[in-house]
Amino acid sequence: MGKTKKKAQLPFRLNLLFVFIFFLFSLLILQLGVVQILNGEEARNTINETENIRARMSVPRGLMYDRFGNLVLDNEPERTITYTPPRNGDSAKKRLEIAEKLAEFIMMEEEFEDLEARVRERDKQEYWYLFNTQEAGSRLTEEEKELSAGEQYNKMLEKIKPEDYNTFDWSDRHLLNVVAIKKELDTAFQLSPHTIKNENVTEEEYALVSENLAQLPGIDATIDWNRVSKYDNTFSSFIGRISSSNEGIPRENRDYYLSLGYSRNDRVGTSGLEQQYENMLRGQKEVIQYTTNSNGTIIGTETIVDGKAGNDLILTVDMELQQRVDEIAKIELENFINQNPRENEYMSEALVAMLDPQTGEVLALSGAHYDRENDRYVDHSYRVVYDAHLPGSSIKGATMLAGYDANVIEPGEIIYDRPIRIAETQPKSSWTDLGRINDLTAIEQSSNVYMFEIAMRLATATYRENEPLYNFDRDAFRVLRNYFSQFGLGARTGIDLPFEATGVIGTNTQDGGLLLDTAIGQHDAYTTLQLAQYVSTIANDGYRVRPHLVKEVRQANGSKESLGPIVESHGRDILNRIDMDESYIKRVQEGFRLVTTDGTARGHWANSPYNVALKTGTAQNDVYEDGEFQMRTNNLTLVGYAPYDEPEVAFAIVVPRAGTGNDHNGIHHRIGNQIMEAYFDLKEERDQAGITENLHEQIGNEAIDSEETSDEDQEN
Amino acid sequence: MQTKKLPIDYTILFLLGCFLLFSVLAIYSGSAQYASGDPTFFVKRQIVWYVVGILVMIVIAYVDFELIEKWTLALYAIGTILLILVHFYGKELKGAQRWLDLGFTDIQPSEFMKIFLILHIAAILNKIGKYRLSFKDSIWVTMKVLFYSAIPLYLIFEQPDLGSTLMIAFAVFGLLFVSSISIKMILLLVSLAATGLGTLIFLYFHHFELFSKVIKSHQMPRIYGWLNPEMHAQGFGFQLRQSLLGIGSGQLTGSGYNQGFQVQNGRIPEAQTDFIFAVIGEEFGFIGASILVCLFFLLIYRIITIAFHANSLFGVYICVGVIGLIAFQVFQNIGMTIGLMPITGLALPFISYGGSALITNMMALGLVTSVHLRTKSYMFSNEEAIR
Repeated sequence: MGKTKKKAQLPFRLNLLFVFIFFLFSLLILQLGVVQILNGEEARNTINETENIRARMSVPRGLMYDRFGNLVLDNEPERTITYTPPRNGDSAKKRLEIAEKLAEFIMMEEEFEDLEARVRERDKQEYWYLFNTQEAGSRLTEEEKELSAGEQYNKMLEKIKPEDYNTFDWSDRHLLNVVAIKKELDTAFQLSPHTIKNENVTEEEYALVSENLAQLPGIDATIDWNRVSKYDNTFSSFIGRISSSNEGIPRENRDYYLSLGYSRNDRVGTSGLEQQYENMLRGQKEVIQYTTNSNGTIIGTETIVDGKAGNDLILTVDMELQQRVDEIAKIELENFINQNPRENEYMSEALVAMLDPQTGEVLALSGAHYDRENDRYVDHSYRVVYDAHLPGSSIKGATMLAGYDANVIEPGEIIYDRPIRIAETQPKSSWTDLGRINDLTAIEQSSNVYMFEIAMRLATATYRENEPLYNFDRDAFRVLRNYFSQFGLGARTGIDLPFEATGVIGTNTQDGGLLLDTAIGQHDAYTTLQLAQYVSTIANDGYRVRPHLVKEVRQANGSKESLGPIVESHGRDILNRIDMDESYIKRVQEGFRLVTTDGTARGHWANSPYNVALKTGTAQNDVYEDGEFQMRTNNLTLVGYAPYDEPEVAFAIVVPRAGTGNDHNGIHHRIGNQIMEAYFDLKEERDQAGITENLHEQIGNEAIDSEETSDEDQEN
Repeated sequence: MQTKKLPIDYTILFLLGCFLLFSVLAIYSGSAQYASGDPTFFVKRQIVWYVVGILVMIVIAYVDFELIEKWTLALYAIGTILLILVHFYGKELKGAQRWLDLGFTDIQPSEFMKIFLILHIAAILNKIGKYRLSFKDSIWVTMKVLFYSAIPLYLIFEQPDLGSTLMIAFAVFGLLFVSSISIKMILLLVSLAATGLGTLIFLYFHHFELFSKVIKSHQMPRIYGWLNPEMHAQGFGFQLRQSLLGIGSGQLTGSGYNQGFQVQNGRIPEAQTDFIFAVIGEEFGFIGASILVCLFFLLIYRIITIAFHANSLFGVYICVGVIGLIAFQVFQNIGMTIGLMPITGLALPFISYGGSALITNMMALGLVTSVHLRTKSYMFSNEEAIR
């Protein structure tokens, strides 16, 4: 027993160990067989397959036309030099070679300072590195040499000091040019065209590059598109702008745009209609798939997605009218300021909005602005949508309708117009004591007291002369504003722009006097567009329609002479119907008409041939600077529509901070008269010339018809 | 021993020549992705390391390994002290604390410790002789071996360096296996290890907080990536997947030297070090890769032969330890590139770029050569030859 126990087992176990290792190594070879022989074919295919590279090619952005089919915003070709790196890119040395060649033909900047500004320290370091790769590499410590390639590169650049790269002559224009070009080449991505220069490419540069393309691998001389307005600055603030290819997609919304398939250097609308209708205008990029073999040579191309040019927008705006209104506003503003510079010291704008009250189509939006500092008149039409002003009496139509609907007054009801004296408050009265007046006269003569009565009754307040208001129901603020917002006052108008102001609405509901002020337009402030929507709603028998700037979206058809088929049609969009008896609205319309024939505006409008109905407004707007009273000024407003019986144009005019003496020779009336004249003159001219809105129209009618039937559904 | 002759085993030297050829070709091809620098940077340095390594091997082969036996405890102590120094004062690189900064150069004590530990264990096992022990008698010596192993293993594991830990554990187990320890003890150890692994898996699924105390968080992605390279296509799964695609696409004959798509386009990470086998697999194909595996097997065969003929038990154990180290590294490294093993930082011996590991492996071969050269007689049968 002891003998067997003492047996040396080493050779046996050594053999066993050897067999075990043999087994392990066999396993390795077996698995190699599986990976390389069994699945090798598949792996090879996978590698080849992943070498399909997709490139996106830009398409032209959609154009904009006015309502008569006149081209407003065009794409103009711009000479562009691009670089498209091959699969996996060119090496740095190769890019430098290309840059050196290209620098013989193009200049990145004309001015030396601009050229110098393009070249940063890092660019200089990289340039030095290209010529001193070995030297730069030798500066790395042993540890740094173990870093990844990218980290190593950064470390090497860090160690390149000014005394190194200043061995090059950085005052040499040619050198700066080469480096500036190389910098652009460096940012390009494989197989995607990258713009190297697209501004101010001269004809000569373009020709030189084109002739020498053979020496410039990847470089191309092509045409890019630039947005050009055919009407100079007219309406440009609403048309908006697009980013340049250097700006690319807005940084703050990068993820949003990337998720929609944009590339970082894509040009996108950043304001106005360009932004609002971005998805219509952008079109669809052409996607091309390049198949490359493992050496990077392209062995096939296939169009995956056909490119589609962006859709064109047909604006509701009449550009000719717009131009005339711009001019009228500017000239009147200029005249009034010149005539009375002292009195009109704070007057600097004349704002006009014109709509088709039936459809909400915007016909013109003008804003003349006087730039006092530089003594020049400029177009600030965006203020029509952005700036809120106290409207004064213009909104009395809304107050009156609130009174009818809340059953606090009846049509024809007579109220005694006399100063309202509330304890510890300034007396409140109309411009003159009108005595016993009914509702029509109240509008015609712009009675404040009639509106105060309505307001006090809404608040169920008990009025006794020289006593405070008793039983004042503060909820009346909400009730009155609710009525107002049904006309769009203090509410979103819904215009198709990325931004609109909704006015300035007071928050103090403690002071009952403010309700009275609100009722006569002396408390809440509204934009000119809101006022236009308000008067349109009255003109339109109580239908509040959404103002819009785009009438139709049409497919591009490659020609600027005719329009393509309709993609989308924006007809009348009713936001709400004023919730009250139609006879009430007729009553207010009648009052508005009387304003021109017998009332406050008779002097300016009695002779107008266009059957205009309107309401004037004068809001006190005292100017304070640093808390100190400077001057009394008035906001002059005018809202109206024509013709009285079949309204086709509605307008709102706001002239903030006019001198107080201007009230009766009113700039707003002069502007109003002239824009009506311009509108009807143009209409007549076009009727005579046989120009219709649907000049290019063949297919579109049906779409609009169906739109209208759906409106009727809403009415019922 | 003929003193005039250089103390070299020519079979080993021939194999080293083959390895050098593979190594230089693969490093050159694998480092081409770093085109910014000198493409021969790594190659030149690897050749220098080879020359230094072979000199070290020769110097160690001169030394009579039997003399070392008396010094193993001292060597072991030095190694352990160095490891403790690393633990407290070591330099951290890429998330692991493995190096000691000596001012003029960095050393990696865990590399030397592999050799020192094996020598010491070999000495311990040598003392119990060549005859099989009973289970009872095995207990003490097993405890001793486990005790001496546990200290460096723990210190290396903490660095953290799971790869080296497993490699040393494998070598120690190989030594215990061939020693005279009772087979029952061996089986007990195996079942303990299996239980340990089972417990880990149990902890992972049911008590993750305990599990994460044992396995460092950076190690899990490697295991996930190994278990499912497609799903974890970003991290370690990405490395593995790219490596598998590259090796696979090499097919039978390879894509051709410097023609490997995956390698040349920088898709194989660490192509000149940890993933060097992917270069060989892709560019030289199944044939080239198999030849390399066979060369490794020949090396191990050669060392086993030396062990069989050795007439010193201590020498046999040295050989077995070295076999354990090399075999584990080869299997682990190649295994990880073809999806057999999870990814660890172990290099492919003699092929991957890197001085420390190469010198250590050369030292190991130097010891083996020393054993070979001091095998005095071939006249006895194997059994008799071993004292």
